Amino acid sequence: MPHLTHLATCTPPCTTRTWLSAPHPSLPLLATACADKTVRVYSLQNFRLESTIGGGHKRSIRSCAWKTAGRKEESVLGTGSFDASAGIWRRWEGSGGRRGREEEEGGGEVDFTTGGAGGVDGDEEEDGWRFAVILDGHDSEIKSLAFAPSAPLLATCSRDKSVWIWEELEDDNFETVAVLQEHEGDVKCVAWHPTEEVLASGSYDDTVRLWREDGDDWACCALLAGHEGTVWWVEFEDGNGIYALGEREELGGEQRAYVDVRLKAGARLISCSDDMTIRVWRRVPKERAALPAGQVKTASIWKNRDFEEEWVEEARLPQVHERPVYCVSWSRKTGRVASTGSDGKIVVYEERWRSADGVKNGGGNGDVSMAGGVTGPDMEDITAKKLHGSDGHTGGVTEWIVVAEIDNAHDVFEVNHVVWAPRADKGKRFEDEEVLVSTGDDGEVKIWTFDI
Amino acid sequence: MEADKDNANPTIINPSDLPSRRRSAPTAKRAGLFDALAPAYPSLVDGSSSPEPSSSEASLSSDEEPEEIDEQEVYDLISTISDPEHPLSLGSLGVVKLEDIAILPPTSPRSRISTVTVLVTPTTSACSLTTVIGLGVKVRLVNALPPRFRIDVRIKPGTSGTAGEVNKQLGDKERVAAAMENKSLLNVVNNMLATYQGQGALAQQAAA
Repeated sequence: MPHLTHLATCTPPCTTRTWLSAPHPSLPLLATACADKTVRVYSLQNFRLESTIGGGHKRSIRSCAWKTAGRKEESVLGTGSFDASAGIWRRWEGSGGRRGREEEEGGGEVDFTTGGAGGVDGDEEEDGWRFAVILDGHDSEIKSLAFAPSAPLLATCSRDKSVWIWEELEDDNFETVAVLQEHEGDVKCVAWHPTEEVLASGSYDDTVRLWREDGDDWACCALLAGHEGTVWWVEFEDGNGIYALGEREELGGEQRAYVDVRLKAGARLISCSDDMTIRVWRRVPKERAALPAGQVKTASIWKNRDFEEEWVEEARLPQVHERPVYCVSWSRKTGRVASTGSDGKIVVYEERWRSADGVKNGGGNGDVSMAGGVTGPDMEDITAKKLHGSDGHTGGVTEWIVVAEIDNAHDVFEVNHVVWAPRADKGKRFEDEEVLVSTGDDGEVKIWTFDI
Repeated sequence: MEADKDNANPTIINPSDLPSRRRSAPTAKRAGLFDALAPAYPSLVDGSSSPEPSSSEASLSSDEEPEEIDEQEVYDLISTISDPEHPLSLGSLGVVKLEDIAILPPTSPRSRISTVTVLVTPTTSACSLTTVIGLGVKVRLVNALPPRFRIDVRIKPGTSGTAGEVNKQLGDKERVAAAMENKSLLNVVNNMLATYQGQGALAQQAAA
């Protein structure tokens, strides 16, 4: 029976609310956004505070994100604050730098000297972090930010209902490329597609919007409606997510057809909401119809049709949470999804092929596993949808089941964020092992192992 | 009808007619209630969260008090909040009523979370004032009740056309947190909460 085990709590914890933790793309580090206007950088090797980033913001730091593309020797962290600005921080990690020293000393040394000071007297370098640039523009609190994985772009979003896209030209020079104002309420989160230049945003207006470039301008190419409450978090699956389901040769006809659809559609999107549901959305790949003979292709009409995308709600994960779900994390390695929220639970789900006779996979002990999901709305053409896996509520080709659940993850406090991260401590059991990192209102960042 | 005050002549209830009890049950409280209205949760684990516990609380450990917090306790916490418009308390104005407070116990044996629901009856149809009143109630309860309580403050159905909007704002934890960092809003809420004059251990600590 799979379960989550508490491995460690990062120390020292924050004394105010912590909102989110971001694992570094290559180093065993975690950056935690704190309401005390700082970011704490913890080590995933020994779970101790490695450095503190402060002095750049006047209000709580709500979100932080690492830049994934770019030079490996330099860490770049973006911070999003309630003071309506985003900060870009840089640190040199090359040999002889901080990381080199830590490795030599066995990773035990923690520098507290500048940690508490917060750099309010204007120190440029603090624990090696340099405050490179401040991005102003939003009218009110920034809720989230994200760097694009394969382009020099940064997206920020705010209570001012807009999403901004910035392009990094050279070091410390960011230019606003787009101000997207189609949401009708606060924009709570932004996330980039793993392989395409497509951005997703979730909003207080209960919708998810997708954005991409239409010629020279960014515009909204899809509107995903269906949630009945604020959408707190959106995330795309890994580009290779389809392979988590298993080898192609062993599949039946229906399953292979589904795999084909998935490969054409690209990475799916997951969203979670105030309405306590977690939904998976999939793009409907466009079939390019052949033009009837003699018809001239009209440039503008076809261009518009090509730009807009249709996405459908493919599945709803089994409903376990009893209060708003604040965050979901889709593992890059295993395809498992973890969720958390106001009820203080952490739940882990897996996607499996639905077995032919309708009996659910797995042990069937019924204790933790719950097959399928919530019964969806009326469906017109069940057969066609089944083949394309586009309803998933009943009769879908795959199903989501709960594989682990933990209550009171942060005692009685709400848990704001959960994320999968590569395991880096001494107890690591196998290559590609992941831990789950949860961040709560109690100021604590907790590390969990997923044990089968 | 005055444009500014939609409810220029509110019905005022005599304070002695408001529901109360002679002595509030003591409950363990966290430190720094009014230092900053943004909710801050010092660690409860080491038990050193309360710098000057009153004598009746000294023997109680946080979050393990045998007495349950009941609706009367919640009412006592919020009924003396001042209305931002009138020099009267929310209890006297009937904005908060004992019967509109509900406490739901944990939904399962493994959960330790209780939910407090407070329905607020606005005196005016002005959405922004109603939101401020709701915010005052929410902030008071978030700071005064132990963290195992989830607090839902909503507008009483049928009393306002903008109830949905206000409810959504009050239910949005991020918005409430950000609002409490907003100095001018903080001042308004502080003024509303400054008139708290309840009885019992809770009030003594608060007034100190």
